[in-house]
Amino acid sequence: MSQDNKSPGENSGKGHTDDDVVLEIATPNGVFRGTFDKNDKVEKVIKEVVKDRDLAEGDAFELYYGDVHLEPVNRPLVSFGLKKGRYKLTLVATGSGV
Amino acid sequence: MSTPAALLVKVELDALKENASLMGWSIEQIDDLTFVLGLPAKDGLTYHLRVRCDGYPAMPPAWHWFNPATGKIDNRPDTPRGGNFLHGNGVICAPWNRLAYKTVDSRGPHSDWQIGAWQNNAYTRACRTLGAMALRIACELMKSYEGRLAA
Repeated sequence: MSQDNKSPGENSGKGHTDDDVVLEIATPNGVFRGTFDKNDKVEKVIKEVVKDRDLAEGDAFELYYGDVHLEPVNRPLVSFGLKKGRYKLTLVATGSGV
Repeated sequence: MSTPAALLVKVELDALKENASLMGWSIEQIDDLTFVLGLPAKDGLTYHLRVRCDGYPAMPPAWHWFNPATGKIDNRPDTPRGGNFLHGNGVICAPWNRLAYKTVDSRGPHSDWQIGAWQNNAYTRACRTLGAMALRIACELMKSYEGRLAA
């Protein structure tokens, strides 16, 4: 189900807390908007975004905050400085120049 | 009547326009098969691409570096460089860029790729839509970018 017309956080299914990280993520299939806990791992975010935006689960994606690659993906959002607040990220298909 | 390429481009551009709005990128559709995209690099400069999608998706799009002030494409001063992706030949080196193929453009680094098989090329990975390609370019302009190709 698309989240396009929902305000950030509507996909979280929980009340807002001081640990909420509101993410707006540009993806290959348009913008994802949602709220996560600052202690959620990057891999959880990627998994939810891939599912929500109907991206192929077999494809590999990387999450970026500006030029910061959020890896390793088993680290929580807060470890990259993403704490209470709203952030714009990009979900990028892996691969580079060849 | 719209062509299959035009119909697909319309659908994929809708997603790309959403991303452009979020990220502050500029995007202008020129016609059913052509658009111009402006993306920031890590030094604050904005680079533009004029993207031609005739024959898409049987053929990959042609991602030309572009100067909106002069209307010229493929000028070295309007072209970023950095790593293998922002190739020193002045083209984006990826199977999803038509200009990477020597058979299409003499600057293309690859004579070993089949353009008709671009979606199955192992290096294409998930860059199979205009939105995915644009995100990859935006990422490389932040990550691999080293400056203009020529002063």
